[in-house]
Amino acid sequence: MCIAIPCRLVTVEDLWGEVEIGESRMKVRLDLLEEPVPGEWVLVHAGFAIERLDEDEALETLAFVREAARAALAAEGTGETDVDDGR
Amino acid sequence: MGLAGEVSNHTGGVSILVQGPEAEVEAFVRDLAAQAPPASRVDSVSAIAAPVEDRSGFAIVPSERTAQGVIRVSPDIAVCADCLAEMLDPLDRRHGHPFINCTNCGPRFTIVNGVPYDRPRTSMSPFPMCARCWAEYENVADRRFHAQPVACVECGPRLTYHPGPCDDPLGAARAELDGGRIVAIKGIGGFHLACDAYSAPAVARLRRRKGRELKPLAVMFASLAAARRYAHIPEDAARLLSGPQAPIVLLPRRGNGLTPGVAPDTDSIGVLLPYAPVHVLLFNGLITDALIMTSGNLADEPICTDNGEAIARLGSVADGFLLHDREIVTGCDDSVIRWTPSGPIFLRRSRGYVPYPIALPDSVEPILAVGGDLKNTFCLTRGQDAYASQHIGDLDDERVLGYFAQQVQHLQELVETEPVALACDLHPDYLSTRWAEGYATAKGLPLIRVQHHYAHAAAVVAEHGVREPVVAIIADGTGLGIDGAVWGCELLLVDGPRWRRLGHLQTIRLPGGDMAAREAWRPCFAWLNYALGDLDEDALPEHLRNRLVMWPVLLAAMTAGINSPIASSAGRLFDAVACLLGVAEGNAYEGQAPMRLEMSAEDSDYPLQWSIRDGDPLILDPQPALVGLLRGLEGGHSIASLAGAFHRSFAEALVGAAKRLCATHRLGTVVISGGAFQNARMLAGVSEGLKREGLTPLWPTQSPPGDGGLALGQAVAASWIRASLTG
Amino acid sequence: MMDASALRDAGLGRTIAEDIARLSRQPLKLMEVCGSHSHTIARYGIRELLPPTIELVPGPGCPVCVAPQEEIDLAIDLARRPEVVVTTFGDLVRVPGTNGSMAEVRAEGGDVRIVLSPMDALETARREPERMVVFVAIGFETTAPGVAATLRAAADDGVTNLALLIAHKTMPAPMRALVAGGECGVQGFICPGHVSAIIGSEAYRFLADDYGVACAVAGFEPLDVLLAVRSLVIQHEAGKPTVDVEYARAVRPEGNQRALSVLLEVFEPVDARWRGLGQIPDSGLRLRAPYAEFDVESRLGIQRIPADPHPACRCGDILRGVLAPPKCPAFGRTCTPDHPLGPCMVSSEGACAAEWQYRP
Repeated sequence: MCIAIPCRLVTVEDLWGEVEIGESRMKVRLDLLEEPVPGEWVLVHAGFAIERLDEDEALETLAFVREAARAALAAEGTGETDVDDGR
Repeated sequence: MGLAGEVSNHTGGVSILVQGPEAEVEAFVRDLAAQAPPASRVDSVSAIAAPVEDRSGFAIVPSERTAQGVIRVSPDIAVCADCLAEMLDPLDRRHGHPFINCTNCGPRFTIVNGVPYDRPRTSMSPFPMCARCWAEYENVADRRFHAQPVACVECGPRLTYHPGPCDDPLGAARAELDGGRIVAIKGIGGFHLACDAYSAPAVARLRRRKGRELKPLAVMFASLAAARRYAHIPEDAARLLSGPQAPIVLLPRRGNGLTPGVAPDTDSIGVLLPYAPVHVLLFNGLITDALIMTSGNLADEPICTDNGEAIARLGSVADGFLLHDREIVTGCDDSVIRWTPSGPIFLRRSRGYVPYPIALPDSVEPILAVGGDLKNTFCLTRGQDAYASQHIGDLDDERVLGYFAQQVQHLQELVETEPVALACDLHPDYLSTRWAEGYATAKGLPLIRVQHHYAHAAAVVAEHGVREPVVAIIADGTGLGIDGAVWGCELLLVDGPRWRRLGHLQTIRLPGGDMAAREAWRPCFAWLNYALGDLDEDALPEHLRNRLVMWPVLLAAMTAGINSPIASSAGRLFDAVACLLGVAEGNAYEGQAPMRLEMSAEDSDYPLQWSIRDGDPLILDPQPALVGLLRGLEGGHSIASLAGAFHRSFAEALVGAAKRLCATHRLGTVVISGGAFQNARMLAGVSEGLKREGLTPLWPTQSPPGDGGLALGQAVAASWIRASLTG
Repeated sequence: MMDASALRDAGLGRTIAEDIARLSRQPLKLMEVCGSHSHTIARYGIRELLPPTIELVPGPGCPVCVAPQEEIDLAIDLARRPEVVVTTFGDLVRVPGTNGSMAEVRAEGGDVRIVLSPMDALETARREPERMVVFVAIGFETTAPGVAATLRAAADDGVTNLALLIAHKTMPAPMRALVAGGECGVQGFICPGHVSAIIGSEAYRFLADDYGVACAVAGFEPLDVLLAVRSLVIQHEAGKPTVDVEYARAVRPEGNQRALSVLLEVFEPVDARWRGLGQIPDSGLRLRAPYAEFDVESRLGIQRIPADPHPACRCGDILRGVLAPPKCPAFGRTCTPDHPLGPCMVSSEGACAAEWQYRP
């Protein structure tokens, strides 16, 4: 039940909204969000939007993964073992 | 202690010469019994004064064979806590030694070739001790002082694994067991066949290959804590499980965590704890904490003891073999004890108990009793000791008979006794009887034939040292009566060599001979026919109606007396009721139907009565109870309640009959025995009922109530009979 | 935007795993405390990718699994009452109680309905005013705010035939109990993702500061988890435990304040009993006074009867992180999803269920 799915919020009407999952749409409650905005991405769990997803943070995570991998391959070459997590 | 002297081990026991200040010498004599090592049993200490000599220090004098005395070869003793601690301690020099033992534990009976008990006369003789072991062996203060089987990883026996080559036998065995395969494990008394008790496919495969389709299988748990998840284990039972005899103890099952294939016909589970060091090492690192440990044989052959023999005979069952090179001189199955509300009952007296004798109240001549054909044991008496043998098995094939004969010889050597007379059952066709006849003729010895149920009663009388006449209730499946009929539920008056049949279960003709035991509908129809006067479809419960077509054939055979002996068998009555209530179809193995009936029973007030017809003999007639059961089935009463009510009514009938007979003959003690009293509900019902009537019930606690205890009774009865003839 | 495929890239995953192996020198015991993490870990074989120095065990991360036997029994008893409709999340239905399961009660005719949201339970109550609709309120802080919001809506609309069996538990408390208890020896946590979205990553600060335990909040893709493990190794090797947020796209240090305020308007912390872990202070939730009428236990005057689980069941040891699912003797043998001995094998968030589903 930790399962929360990232979905795009399409419509907002007071405490009810609609999200898009693939081709389908689902109604969700918006009680737990401050000022939900159509178009933003939210995590949906048990019929509620529980948090909004931050696009910038998402992109940063992806970048970090790639950077960590690059640094790992480099360090393997040099035998370095001390790595500063760099964030 | 500041004492000097010497000690020597001889066939009469241990002889100690001790001298020093008087107070110290007295203290020594006192402490001898009080501070005896845990595995020892000091039966008696006799002290006599001896002249003071010029000596200092304490010496061990080599053993010598002396004149006739009391022989004690110790039973095999489960590994002790001290040895286990050493074996599991990475710094100890015996770390990981799978044969670790000391003065207080280890194999004895199973490795001994002859007496007195000394390393050269055991299967440890091919393993000369290394210098370090010698040092411990010679050191009076060491726990391994004169421990005959002592060795270590350097000089001792080794484990191997087959198929090889394999440099980690334990690891290989563990991998197979966790992988759901079957491993034959050489232990103390013989081979076990083992598999993961959680794995339904492994258990099913083991049953199929071994030919043990439905019999309960014993489970060895990694620890008492693990066992407690699956069985209700009271403190006393825990002590028995963890004690030197380490028997299999049948305890009430708890929950259903193990695969149901373990024991389908009973709500007990046979619990075993690791008793050999190799078992402990095996569990260390095993994922599963419960292993089926059934005896390493096919069907009911004698237990395998030899590596080559095991690979040959068990190759079709086991996927792998954990072997070792310390010879098992004498095979010895695990003992089995049933924990009942009436106390522990022996189902099998074997490893851990044998060859320790059962004490008799009086000294008797040396007599060899050969027992019966099922669950055979034999018994050799000497003085006040009755040496009951280990479990031999069912004497139904040449191999077992050969084993029987060999063991008879071996026990005579260990105990240094030859019998002056033989005892056997009345039944002329028992293989044990025939063997006894041959032996008696060859040795020119008298043979005394003892009636089956009288023998059962004699065993109990001797065990409890009863010196007055008793009424005996002996109930089992079958035993030949002195009138040539099949007896199986008898009330006897027993007064030493004199005994009389005072009462019995109503007799009926049992159709089908041996088949009557295997197919329960036969005794069922026979009893219903008796109870109702006639059998028709409407009287029978639905599940029996399709068999009715067989009835005319059976009736004809019974009427003509063909293959339909007259019988008063409790066992067949239980079978009949089990079939009537739909809880069993027959006995795929001995006792299956009554076991299932017992398992399905719960306490019940449902009214059922027997009728007791006074007379000589007195007759117990279950007719009204059988009619009551039919009514109960029609009326929709639960099977559990009807089964319970039947047990209750049977017990009440026996108690009522015993009470009348005790009153008539002015007796107060009632002996209860026979295979039917392995049924805890019956034993409790009868014993409690007798107590309520102010009578004293006695039942066997040193030997099995079933045919495993027959030989002891035969020997005792024969000794009474001979004494009465000569004296 | 939300293209998470990079976070599932096998090549990147191997590289990060190798990096972890290179960085990890001292032995390190880690624990994940979220059922969905257990799933990701089992599905992508993450344990097998880690070096032998790292032991990763599942913990009490499944709200169904940690419900003590008496809560399960209570739900099953309620289902047996003819006047009650029990609405529940699906994975509770097959958990074995002392006397059967809700699935068995349903087969016998009990009215047990699976819902995906507490709002569905409210809807059922509105539609069937003559029945008492009981919702089994189970779940951690991911779920509880939604349940709180539902109750607010029910109170606002004057719905009186809805009641809750409160089985909610809260997360940081068992983590403290495990560390303080000393039995399982955990040195680093992969912190739950969506619970943290609600409570915020600072909720775990005390673990690093007071107990020296490394924390990393992870997302649910395999690379999310590997990055979190890598962070824990680095923290541990440097001797500098902290709370690192790898799932920053959903988790803020302060969490979702709005959700928290809705939660705390309706619920307050209470001591609670956990399967396997025993009584833990402030680890459960109960209804505040204004909402007390929604509590089914006081409403119907029923009592929890402490009950022991099946004697052969090791879920308790698994939840405490001292027994790994494949090492349980019953795993896959006498305990499978079809005939489970306990909840871990049958709940969608259960550690055993995850191992079983993705077994090789």
